[in-house]
Amino acid sequence: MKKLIVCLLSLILILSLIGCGSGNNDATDDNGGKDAQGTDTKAEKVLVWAWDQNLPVIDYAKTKYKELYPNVNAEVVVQSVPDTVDKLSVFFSSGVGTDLPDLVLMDNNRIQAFLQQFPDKFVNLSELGFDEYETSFSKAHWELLSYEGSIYAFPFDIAPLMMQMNTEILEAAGVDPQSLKTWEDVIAATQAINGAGYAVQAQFENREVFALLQSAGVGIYDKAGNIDLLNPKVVEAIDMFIRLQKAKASDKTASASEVGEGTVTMAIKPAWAIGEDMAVLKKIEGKVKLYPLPKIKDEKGYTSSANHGGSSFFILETSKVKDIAYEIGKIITTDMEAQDIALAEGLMPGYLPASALDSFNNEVPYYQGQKIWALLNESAIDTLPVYINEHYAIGEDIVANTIIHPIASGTDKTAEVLLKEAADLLASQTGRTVNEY
Amino acid sequence: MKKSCLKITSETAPYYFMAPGAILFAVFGAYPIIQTFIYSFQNKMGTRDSTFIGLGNYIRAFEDSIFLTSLKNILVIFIMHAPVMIFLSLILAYILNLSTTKFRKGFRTAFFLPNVTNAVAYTFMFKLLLSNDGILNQVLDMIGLQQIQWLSDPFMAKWVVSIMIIWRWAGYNMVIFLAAMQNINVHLYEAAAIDGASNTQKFFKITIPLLKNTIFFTTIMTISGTLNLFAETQLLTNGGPNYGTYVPALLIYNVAWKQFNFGYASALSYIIAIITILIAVIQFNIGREKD
Repeated sequence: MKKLIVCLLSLILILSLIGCGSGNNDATDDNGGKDAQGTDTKAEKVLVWAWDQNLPVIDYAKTKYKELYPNVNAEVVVQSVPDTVDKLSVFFSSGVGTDLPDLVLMDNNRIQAFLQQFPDKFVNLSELGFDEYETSFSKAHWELLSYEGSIYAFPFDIAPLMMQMNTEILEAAGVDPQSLKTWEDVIAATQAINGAGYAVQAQFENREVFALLQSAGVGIYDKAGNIDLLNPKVVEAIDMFIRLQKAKASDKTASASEVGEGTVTMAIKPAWAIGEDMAVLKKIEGKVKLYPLPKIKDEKGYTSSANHGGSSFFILETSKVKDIAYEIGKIITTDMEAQDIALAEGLMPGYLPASALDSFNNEVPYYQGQKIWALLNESAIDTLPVYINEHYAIGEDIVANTIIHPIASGTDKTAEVLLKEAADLLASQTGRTVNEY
Repeated sequence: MKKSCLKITSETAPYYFMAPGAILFAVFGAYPIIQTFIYSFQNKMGTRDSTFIGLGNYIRAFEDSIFLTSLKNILVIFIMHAPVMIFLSLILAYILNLSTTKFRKGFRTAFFLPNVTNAVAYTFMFKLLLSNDGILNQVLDMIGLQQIQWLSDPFMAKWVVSIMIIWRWAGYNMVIFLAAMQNINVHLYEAAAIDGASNTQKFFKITIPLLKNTIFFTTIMTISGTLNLFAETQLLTNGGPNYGTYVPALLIYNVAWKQFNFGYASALSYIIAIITILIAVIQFNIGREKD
C-alpha cells in the first residue's frame, strides 16, 4: 500500500512537471482551431494584443473579416506598451509558444529591437505579399519596420508633432502666436507670458528634446548606426534647450498636466495625444490652436516638423492562423474606412492614400475650427527620418539621464560637454562608434 | 536490489518526504541558477545564437559607469535609511512593549499596515504627494513657501526613496524587535528599576545588548532588501534624475528587458548575489566574534 502511494505521488509529480514543459507541442490549441494538417475543425480564433485607442479600428477590421468568413472570431486583449514589451520578451526568451497572440500592436520605437534580437519570432510580411503596398507608405516609415530587406510589421499610425498654443493666454500677454516661428521668438516672448502670470511650457522631457533634434534632421544615431551626438546640429539643438531652460521657456516649476488647466501656454503634442486630450481636457476647449513647431533656425535644413511614436502590427511566428491575421492586419492598415475610424480616434494613418479622406478637412471646434488633421498631415510630409536600432531604448535613457535631467537641474556644463559625456557613455554601453566632427 | 532501494524504511522515508521539494527546487530553483551562471559567460542577446566570451560580461560590469553609479546609489540610500529605520523600529517596539502603553494592538497593526501595502499603490501615493505639482508642493504654494523639486534633484530623490523604505519597513522590523523583546526576562528590568535605572538606561543597557542578534538579522535583511530595491525607483523616478536613483536591480531589468542582453544581465545578477552573500558572511562573523 505504501509503495502504491509513493508510486502514485511520484507519477503525479512527474506528469505535472511534464505538463508544465510540454504545452507548446500540441498540434491543436485554442490559438489555432486547426489540426496538424491545417484542416478547419472548429471556429477560428485570432488573438490581438493592442492598447485601447486602437480598439475601434480593430473592431471594424474583425467585423469586416467576419462578414466574409463567419467562423472567425477575433478576441482583443487590451494592454499598455510596456506590458506588451515585457510579456512578449518573456515569452520569446523562455521559449513558450502557447497563449501568445496572433497579431500584436507595438510602439514603432521598439520594433527594431525586437526584430534584431528575436529575429525568428515574427512573420515576414514581404513573403506574404505585403510588398505590393510599399509605395503606399513613406520610405522612412517602411524602413523603420524592415529587417534585412523585408517588412515585418503592418505600418499603422504615425505621430506628427505640432505646437498647441493657448491663444487666450497669448492674447492676454500681447503675443501674436503667428510670430512664434523660431525658438528664439519663444524665448523673446517668455517675459511677456510670465509677466501675465502664466508658464510658457512645462519642463522639457524626452518628447520635446527629441522633437528639437528631429526638426534639425538629427538624432541619437545616424543611418549607419553610429552615435551621432557630437553632430554640430545636435550641439545646436541641445544648446537651444539650455537657453530655453535658462529663459524659463522650459519651466521646471510647471507640469504637463497644467496645460489642461489652462495655466501653461504651449505644449508640443503628437497626433494621438491630441485625439485623447480632446475628450478629457475640457477646460481649454476652444482656447487652443495648433501651429507648426518653432524652428531652431529659419534656414534650410531646419524644419518645423517631428514625429514621436506611432505604432505597427506584428504577426507572431507561433500563430496558427497567420493567413487570417494577415488579412485582418491588411484591413487595419490599408482599408480606407479603417483609416477614417483611426483618424476619428486621433490616430494619423501612415497609409498615404488616406490623405484623400474627407475627414482630413473636418473643422474641429476644440481647436477653434482649425482643420487639425490636414495640418498634422501637412506637417508629417516634411518630417525628416530618425534612425532607430536595437540600442535606441538605451540611447533614450542615456540622453534623459545625462543631458535632459542635468539641464533641467540647472547644470553649468555646456552642450558640448554634456553631449561628449553622453556619447562616451553610450559607446561604452553599446560598443558603437561615435562620429567625430 | 532495486526493490529494497524503493522500500520505505525508517532510513529511506526522509528521502521520500524530501523528494517533492527537492525535485521542485531542482527544476524551478537550481536549473535557473545554473542557466543564469552559464549565460553570464555568453553574449546572449534575445534568441540570437550566443557564443562563450569568458569573463567578458564581468569585466564589462566593473568598467560600466552606470553599474558603478547604481552601486554607489544603493550604498547612499542604505546609509540614508537603514540606521534611521532600525532605530525607529527599536523605539516603536520598545514603546509598544511597555505595559503602560495604551492601545498597543491597534498601534501594532497601524505600524505594520504599510508593509502589506502593494508597492505600486504606495509608490503612486508618494508620487501624488511629491511630484512637481504634487499635494505637498501645492500646500507649500498655498502657505507662500517656495516649492521643492523633490523628484527632480538626484539627492532629494534619494531621500524620497529612503523615506518610502522607512515608511514601509519600519513596522515590519518593529514586529521582529517586539517579538525578541518579549523574550527578554522581565526580572532584568525589575532589578534595574530597583537599582534606579531610568527607561532610557534600561533601553540602552538591557534591551539593545540583548537584541544584538536580532539587530544583526534585521540589518542583513535590510542590506539584502536594499540591494534588491526595484519597484520604488522604477515607478517613482525610473532611476533618474541623472541616474540619481538608478539601482542595480533596475539596471539588470533594463539590460535584460529593454536591451534583451541576457548575458550581461546574468553577470550583473551574479555580482549582486555575491555582494549580498559576502556582506552577510562578514556580518555573521563580526557577530560571532563579539559573542
